[in-house]
Amino acid sequence: MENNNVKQGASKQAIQYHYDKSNLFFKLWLDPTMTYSCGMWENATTLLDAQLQKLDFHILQARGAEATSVLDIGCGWGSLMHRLKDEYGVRNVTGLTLSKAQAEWINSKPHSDCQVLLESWTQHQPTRPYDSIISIGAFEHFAKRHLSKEQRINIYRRFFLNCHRWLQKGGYLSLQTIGCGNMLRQDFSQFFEREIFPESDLPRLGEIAEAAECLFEIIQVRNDRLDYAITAREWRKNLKKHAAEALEITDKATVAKYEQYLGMVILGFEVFESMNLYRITFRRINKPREEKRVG
Amino acid sequence: MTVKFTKEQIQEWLVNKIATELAMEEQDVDINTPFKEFGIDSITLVKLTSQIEDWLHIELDPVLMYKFETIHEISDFILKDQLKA
Repeated sequence: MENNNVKQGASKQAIQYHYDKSNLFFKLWLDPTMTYSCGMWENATTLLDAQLQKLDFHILQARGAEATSVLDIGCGWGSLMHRLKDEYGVRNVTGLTLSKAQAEWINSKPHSDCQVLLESWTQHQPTRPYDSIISIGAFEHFAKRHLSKEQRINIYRRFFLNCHRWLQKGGYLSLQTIGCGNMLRQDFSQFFEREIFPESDLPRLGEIAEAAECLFEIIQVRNDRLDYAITAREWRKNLKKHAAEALEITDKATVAKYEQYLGMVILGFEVFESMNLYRITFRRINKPREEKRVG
Repeated sequence: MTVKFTKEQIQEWLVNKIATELAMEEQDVDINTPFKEFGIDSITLVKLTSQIEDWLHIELDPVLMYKFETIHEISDFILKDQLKA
Protein backbone atom coordinates (compact mmCIF):
# COMPACT_ATOMS: atom_id res chain seq x y z
CA MET A 1 0.00 0.00 0.00
CA GLU A 2 1.27 3.48 -0.77
CA ASN A 3 2.34 5.71 2.04
CA ASN A 4 0.07 8.80 2.20
CA ASN A 5 3.06 11.05 1.82
CA VAL A 6 4.06 9.69 -1.53
CA LYS A 7 0.64 10.36 -3.02
CA GLN A 8 1.49 14.00 -2.75
CA GLY A 9 3.45 14.11 -5.99
CA ALA A 10 2.08 15.00 -9.41
CA SER A 11 -0.86 12.81 -10.39
CA LYS A 12 -1.03 10.84 -13.62
CA GLN A 13 -3.43 13.49 -14.94
CA ALA A 14 -0.98 16.29 -14.11
CA ILE A 15 1.87 14.46 -15.83
CA GLN A 16 -0.23 13.71 -18.88
CA TYR A 17 -1.41 17.34 -19.04
CA HIS A 18 2.15 18.27 -19.97
CA TYR A 19 3.80 15.24 -21.54
CA ASP A 20 0.81 13.93 -23.48
CA LYS A 21 0.32 17.22 -25.30
CA SER A 22 1.44 15.64 -28.57
CA ASN A 23 4.48 13.56 -29.43
CA LEU A 24 4.71 15.34 -32.78
CA PHE A 25 4.68 18.73 -31.09
CA PHE A 26 7.63 17.81 -28.85
CA LYS A 27 9.40 16.24 -31.81
CA LEU A 28 9.45 19.64 -33.52
CA TRP A 29 11.69 21.24 -30.96
CA LEU A 30 13.54 18.50 -29.07
CA ASP A 31 16.66 16.83 -30.46
CA PRO A 32 16.32 13.68 -32.62
CA THR A 33 16.51 11.40 -29.55
CA MET A 34 13.54 13.24 -27.96
CA THR A 35 15.46 13.88 -24.76
CA TYR A 36 13.47 16.37 -22.70
CA SER A 37 15.90 17.42 -19.99
CA CYS A 38 18.94 19.64 -19.64
CA GLY A 39 21.83 18.67 -21.89
CA MET A 40 25.49 18.67 -20.92
CA TRP A 41 27.28 21.29 -22.95
CA GLU A 42 30.90 20.93 -21.91
CA ASN A 43 32.64 20.32 -25.28
CA ALA A 44 29.28 19.86 -27.05
CA THR A 45 28.39 22.03 -30.02
CA THR A 46 24.94 20.75 -30.92
CA LEU A 47 21.82 19.92 -28.93
CA LEU A 48 22.13 16.28 -29.95
CA ASP A 49 25.77 16.13 -28.77
CA ALA A 50 24.80 17.77 -25.47
CA GLN A 51 21.99 15.29 -24.90
CA LEU A 52 24.10 12.24 -25.73
CA GLN A 53 26.90 13.51 -23.53
CA LYS A 54 24.41 13.95 -20.69
CA LEU A 55 23.04 10.41 -21.14
CA ASP A 56 26.57 8.98 -21.19
CA PHE A 57 27.47 10.98 -18.08
CA HIS A 58 24.61 9.45 -16.11
CA ILE A 59 25.35 5.97 -17.43
CA LEU A 60 28.96 6.40 -16.32
CA GLN A 61 27.97 7.77 -12.91
CA ALA A 62 25.50 4.94 -12.30
CA ARG A 63 28.02 2.34 -13.47
CA GLY A 64 25.49 1.45 -16.13
CA ALA A 65 28.02 0.33 -18.71
CA GLU A 66 28.88 -2.76 -16.65
CA ALA A 67 25.30 -3.39 -15.56
CA THR A 68 22.99 -6.13 -16.71
CA SER A 69 19.86 -4.41 -15.41
CA VAL A 70 19.13 -0.69 -15.18
CA LEU A 71 16.04 1.17 -14.01
CA ASP A 72 15.22 4.54 -15.57
CA ILE A 73 12.78 6.46 -13.36
CA GLY A 74 10.94 9.00 -15.51
CA CYS A 75 12.08 7.57 -18.83
CA GLY A 76 10.53 10.19 -21.11
CA TRP A 77 10.52 9.10 -24.72
CA GLY A 78 13.13 6.43 -24.03
CA SER A 79 16.40 8.01 -25.13
CA LEU A 80 18.36 6.77 -22.11
CA MET A 81 16.86 3.29 -22.39
CA HIS A 82 17.80 3.03 -26.04
CA ARG A 83 21.29 4.35 -25.33
CA LEU A 84 21.76 1.71 -22.65
CA LYS A 85 20.59 -1.03 -24.99
CA ASP A 86 22.17 0.06 -28.25
CA GLU A 87 25.47 1.59 -27.14
CA TYR A 88 26.19 -0.26 -23.91
CA GLY A 89 24.49 -3.60 -24.50
CA VAL A 90 22.68 -3.60 -21.19
CA ARG A 91 20.46 -6.68 -21.20
CA ASN A 92 17.53 -5.58 -19.05
CA VAL A 93 16.39 -1.98 -19.19
CA THR A 94 13.20 -0.92 -17.44
CA GLY A 95 11.66 2.53 -17.66
CA LEU A 96 8.90 4.10 -15.62
CA THR A 97 6.65 6.89 -16.87
CA LEU A 98 3.17 8.16 -16.14
CA SER A 99 2.82 9.46 -19.67
CA LYS A 100 0.77 7.21 -21.93
CA ALA A 101 2.03 9.04 -25.01
CA GLN A 102 5.64 8.42 -24.02
CA ALA A 103 5.02 4.72 -23.32
CA GLU A 104 3.29 4.31 -26.69
CA TRP A 105 6.17 6.11 -28.42
CA ILE A 106 8.76 3.79 -26.88
CA ASN A 107 6.73 0.70 -27.67
CA SER A 108 6.24 1.83 -31.27
CA LYS A 109 9.97 1.80 -31.99
CA PRO A 110 11.12 -1.14 -34.10
CA HIS A 111 13.21 -3.78 -32.31
CA SER A 112 12.58 -2.03 -29.01
CA ASP A 113 12.90 -4.61 -26.29
CA CYS A 114 13.09 -2.13 -23.45
CA GLN A 115 10.41 -2.64 -20.86
CA VAL A 116 8.40 0.51 -20.25
CA LEU A 117 5.90 0.52 -17.40
CA LEU A 118 3.11 3.03 -17.11
CA GLU A 119 3.48 3.44 -13.39
CA SER A 120 4.88 5.72 -10.74
CA TRP A 121 8.00 5.07 -8.68
CA THR A 122 5.62 4.78 -5.73
CA GLN A 123 3.95 1.75 -7.34
CA HIS A 124 6.92 -0.03 -8.84
CA GLN A 125 7.52 -3.58 -7.54
CA PRO A 126 10.55 -5.11 -9.27
CA THR A 127 10.99 -8.84 -9.10
CA ARG A 128 14.77 -8.64 -8.80
CA PRO A 129 17.26 -5.93 -7.84
CA TYR A 130 18.77 -3.55 -10.38
CA ASP A 131 22.48 -2.95 -10.84
CA SER A 132 21.99 0.75 -11.51
CA ILE A 133 19.26 3.36 -11.28
CA ILE A 134 19.14 6.60 -13.25
CA SER A 135 16.52 9.31 -12.89
CA ILE A 136 16.68 12.42 -15.06
CA GLY A 137 14.14 15.20 -14.77
CA ALA A 138 11.52 13.31 -12.78
CA PHE A 139 12.30 14.36 -9.21
CA GLU A 140 10.66 17.73 -9.89
CA HIS A 141 7.30 15.93 -10.01
CA PHE A 142 7.64 13.99 -6.79
CA ALA A 143 6.17 16.64 -4.50
CA LYS A 144 3.21 18.90 -5.11
CA ARG A 145 3.38 22.60 -4.39
CA HIS A 146 2.43 23.98 -1.00
CA LEU A 147 3.68 21.02 1.02
CA SER A 148 5.79 21.71 4.08
CA LYS A 149 9.52 21.14 3.98
CA GLU A 150 9.04 18.13 6.24
CA GLN A 151 6.43 16.63 3.93
CA ARG A 152 8.71 17.11 0.94
CA ILE A 153 11.63 15.48 2.68
CA ASN A 154 9.41 12.55 3.71
CA ILE A 155 8.44 11.98 0.08
CA TYR A 156 12.05 12.22 -1.08
CA ARG A 157 13.04 9.88 1.74
CA ARG A 158 10.54 7.31 0.49
CA PHE A 159 12.06 7.63 -2.98
CA PHE A 160 15.55 6.95 -1.65
CA LEU A 161 14.26 4.07 0.46
CA ASN A 162 12.70 2.51 -2.62
CA CYS A 163 15.87 2.99 -4.66
CA HIS A 164 17.86 1.49 -1.80
CA ARG A 165 15.58 -1.54 -1.75
CA TRP A 166 15.67 -1.94 -5.52
CA LEU A 167 19.46 -1.66 -5.94
CA GLN A 168 22.05 -4.39 -5.65
CA LYS A 169 24.58 -4.04 -2.84
CA GLY A 170 26.90 -1.13 -3.58
CA GLY A 171 24.80 -0.08 -6.56
CA TYR A 172 24.80 3.46 -7.87
CA LEU A 173 22.03 5.96 -8.49
CA SER A 174 22.53 8.93 -10.79
CA LEU A 175 20.00 11.71 -10.34
CA GLN A 176 19.39 14.86 -12.34
CA THR A 177 16.90 17.42 -11.12
CA ILE A 178 16.18 21.11 -11.22
CA GLY A 179 16.44 22.59 -7.75
CA CYS A 180 15.56 25.88 -6.08
CA GLY A 181 18.35 28.39 -6.42
CA ASN A 182 18.15 32.03 -5.43
CA MET A 183 14.41 31.78 -4.93
CA LEU A 184 12.02 31.76 -2.02
CA ARG A 185 9.12 29.37 -2.25
CA GLN A 186 6.67 32.24 -2.76
CA ASP A 187 8.68 33.35 -5.80
CA PHE A 188 7.72 30.19 -7.69
CA SER A 189 6.06 31.21 -10.93
CA GLN A 190 2.29 30.74 -10.94
CA PHE A 191 2.51 30.51 -14.70
CA PHE A 192 4.61 27.35 -14.40
CA GLU A 193 2.33 25.89 -11.77
CA ARG A 194 -0.92 26.68 -13.56
CA GLU A 195 0.01 26.36 -17.23
CA ILE A 196 3.08 24.18 -17.60
CA PHE A 197 3.83 21.76 -14.75
CA PRO A 198 0.84 21.41 -12.43
CA GLU A 199 1.26 19.63 -9.11
CA SER A 200 5.04 19.88 -9.19
CA ASP A 201 7.64 21.61 -7.08
CA LEU A 202 11.39 22.00 -6.90
CA PRO A 203 13.57 20.53 -4.17
CA ARG A 204 16.36 22.30 -2.39
CA LEU A 205 19.74 20.62 -2.42
CA GLY A 206 19.71 20.27 1.37
CA GLU A 207 16.35 18.49 1.25
CA ILE A 208 17.71 15.92 -1.20
CA ALA A 209 20.82 15.38 0.92
CA GLU A 210 18.79 15.03 4.11
CA ALA A 211 16.39 12.57 2.51
CA ALA A 212 19.24 10.35 1.34
CA GLU A 213 21.09 10.29 4.68
CA CYS A 214 22.18 6.88 5.90
CA LEU A 215 20.82 5.26 2.73
CA PHE A 216 23.15 6.63 0.10
CA GLU A 217 26.58 8.15 0.15
CA ILE A 218 26.75 11.27 -1.99
CA ILE A 219 29.73 10.80 -4.27
CA GLN A 220 29.45 13.87 -6.44
CA VAL A 221 27.26 16.94 -6.87
CA ARG A 222 27.36 19.13 -9.94
CA ASN A 223 25.37 22.28 -10.53
CA ASP A 224 25.23 22.86 -14.28
CA ARG A 225 22.76 25.74 -14.12
CA LEU A 226 23.90 27.46 -17.29
CA ASP A 227 23.59 24.22 -19.28
CA TYR A 228 19.85 24.57 -18.89
CA ALA A 229 19.83 28.08 -20.33
CA ILE A 230 21.70 26.83 -23.40
CA THR A 231 19.38 23.81 -23.75
CA ALA A 232 16.23 25.92 -23.44
CA ARG A 233 17.62 28.40 -25.98
CA GLU A 234 18.01 25.56 -28.46
CA TRP A 235 14.51 24.26 -27.79
CA ARG A 236 13.02 27.74 -28.12
CA LYS A 237 14.92 28.38 -31.35
CA ASN A 238 13.62 25.08 -32.75
CA LEU A 239 10.07 25.87 -31.73
CA LYS A 240 10.27 29.31 -33.35
CA LYS A 241 11.73 27.77 -36.49
CA HIS A 242 8.94 25.20 -36.69
CA ALA A 243 6.14 27.51 -35.59
CA ALA A 244 4.11 26.93 -38.75
CA GLU A 245 4.25 23.15 -38.31
CA ALA A 246 3.44 23.54 -34.63
CA LEU A 247 0.30 25.43 -35.58
CA GLU A 248 -0.82 22.46 -37.64
CA ILE A 249 -0.58 20.30 -34.53
CA THR A 250 -1.81 22.62 -31.83
CA ASP A 251 -3.33 26.08 -31.39
CA LYS A 252 -1.65 29.46 -31.40
CA ALA A 253 -2.14 30.00 -27.67
CA THR A 254 -0.30 26.76 -26.86
CA VAL A 255 2.64 27.63 -29.11
CA ALA A 256 2.86 31.08 -27.52
CA LYS A 257 2.64 29.53 -24.05
CA TYR A 258 5.51 27.15 -24.76
CA GLU A 259 7.63 29.97 -26.18
CA GLN A 260 7.02 31.92 -22.98
CA TYR A 261 7.79 28.87 -20.84
CA LEU A 262 11.12 28.29 -22.58
CA GLY A 263 11.95 31.99 -22.40
CA MET A 264 11.22 31.96 -18.68
CA VAL A 265 13.45 28.92 -18.23
CA ILE A 266 16.33 30.83 -19.83
CA LEU A 267 15.74 33.80 -17.53
CA GLY A 268 15.39 31.59 -14.45
CA PHE A 269 18.63 29.73 -14.96
CA GLU A 270 20.72 32.53 -16.41
CA VAL A 271 19.49 35.92 -15.25
CA PHE A 272 17.61 35.40 -11.97
CA GLU A 273 19.70 32.36 -10.87
CA SER A 274 16.47 31.16 -9.30
CA MET A 275 16.93 27.58 -10.47
CA ASN A 276 19.89 25.22 -10.36
CA LEU A 277 20.51 22.04 -12.28
CA TYR A 278 21.80 19.29 -10.06
CA ARG A 279 23.50 16.12 -11.19
CA ILE A 280 24.10 13.96 -8.15
CA THR A 281 25.82 10.60 -7.91
CA PHE A 282 24.82 8.32 -5.04
CA ARG A 283 26.29 5.03 -3.87
CA ARG A 284 24.07 2.63 -1.96
CA ILE A 285 25.11 2.18 1.66
CA ASN A 286 24.87 -1.54 2.33
CA LYS A 287 24.26 -1.39 6.04
CA PRO A 288 22.21 1.72 6.73
CA ARG A 289 22.68 3.00 10.27
CA GLU A 290 19.05 3.91 10.79
CA GLU A 291 15.73 4.38 9.07
CA LYS A 292 14.24 7.62 10.12
CA ARG A 293 11.08 9.64 9.59
CA VAL A 294 9.31 6.94 7.64
CA GLY A 295 6.05 5.68 9.00
CA MET B 1 12.69 37.46 -44.71
CA THR B 2 13.54 40.40 -42.47
CA VAL B 3 11.03 43.24 -42.38
CA LYS B 4 12.43 46.72 -42.93
CA PHE B 5 11.56 49.20 -40.24
CA THR B 6 12.70 52.37 -38.56
CA LYS B 7 13.70 53.00 -34.99
CA GLU B 8 10.59 55.14 -34.53
CA GLN B 9 8.36 52.32 -35.74
CA ILE B 10 9.90 49.92 -33.24
CA GLN B 11 9.49 52.44 -30.47
CA GLU B 12 5.87 53.11 -31.38
CA TRP B 13 5.15 49.41 -31.51
CA LEU B 14 6.70 48.82 -28.08
CA VAL B 15 4.93 51.80 -26.56
CA ASN B 16 1.64 50.47 -27.90
CA LYS B 17 2.23 46.93 -26.63
CA ILE B 18 3.38 48.00 -23.18
CA ALA B 19 0.48 50.43 -22.84
CA THR B 20 -1.92 47.63 -23.78
CA GLU B 21 -0.35 45.10 -21.42
CA LEU B 22 -0.34 47.50 -18.50
CA ALA B 23 -3.63 49.22 -19.32
CA MET B 24 -1.88 52.58 -19.58
CA GLU B 25 -2.22 55.49 -21.95
CA GLU B 26 0.45 55.43 -24.66
CA GLN B 27 1.48 58.98 -23.76
CA ASP B 28 2.40 57.73 -20.29
CA VAL B 29 4.88 55.17 -21.60
CA ASP B 30 8.20 56.98 -21.68
CA ILE B 31 10.81 55.45 -23.96
CA ASN B 32 13.61 56.27 -21.51
CA THR B 33 11.96 54.81 -18.43
CA PRO B 34 13.33 51.42 -17.34
CA PHE B 35 10.79 48.58 -17.74
CA LYS B 36 11.01 47.69 -14.08
CA GLU B 37 9.65 51.13 -13.20
CA PHE B 38 6.50 50.33 -15.16
CA GLY B 39 6.04 47.27 -12.94
CA ILE B 40 6.13 44.99 -15.96
CA ASP B 41 6.72 41.34 -15.06
CA SER B 42 9.21 38.90 -16.56
CA ILE B 43 6.64 36.82 -18.37
CA THR B 44 5.32 39.89 -20.17
CA LEU B 45 8.85 40.87 -21.17
CA VAL B 46 9.43 37.37 -22.54
CA LYS B 47 6.13 37.55 -24.41
CA LEU B 48 7.02 40.94 -25.88
CA THR B 49 10.39 39.65 -27.05
CA SER B 50 8.68 36.82 -28.84
CA GLN B 51 6.16 39.16 -30.43
CA ILE B 52 8.92 41.46 -31.69
CA GLU B 53 10.60 38.44 -33.27
CA ASP B 54 7.40 37.45 -35.02
CA TRP B 55 6.64 41.01 -36.11
CA LEU B 56 10.08 41.80 -37.52
CA HIS B 57 11.03 38.24 -38.54
CA ILE B 58 14.25 38.42 -36.57
CA GLU B 59 15.76 36.28 -33.83
CA LEU B 60 16.11 37.82 -30.38
CA ASP B 61 17.19 36.41 -27.05
CA PRO B 62 14.65 36.33 -24.21
CA VAL B 63 17.21 38.01 -21.93
CA LEU B 64 17.20 41.04 -24.24
CA MET B 65 14.89 43.11 -22.05
CA TYR B 66 17.14 42.49 -19.08
CA LYS B 67 20.23 43.58 -20.97
CA PHE B 68 18.57 46.69 -22.31
CA GLU B 69 16.26 48.31 -19.87
CA THR B 70 14.33 50.89 -21.87
CA ILE B 71 12.41 51.09 -25.12
CA HIS B 72 15.06 53.49 -26.38
CA GLU B 73 17.93 51.10 -25.68
CA ILE B 74 16.13 48.10 -27.17
CA SER B 75 15.10 49.84 -30.35
CA ASP B 76 18.71 51.02 -30.78
CA PHE B 77 19.97 47.48 -30.34
CA ILE B 78 17.45 45.94 -32.72
CA LEU B 79 18.22 48.46 -35.42
CA LYS B 80 21.97 47.94 -35.10
CA ASP B 81 21.50 44.19 -34.92
CA GLN B 82 19.40 44.20 -38.04
CA LEU B 83 21.87 46.42 -39.91
CA LYS B 84 24.61 44.04 -38.91
CA ALA B 85 22.62 41.14 -40.36
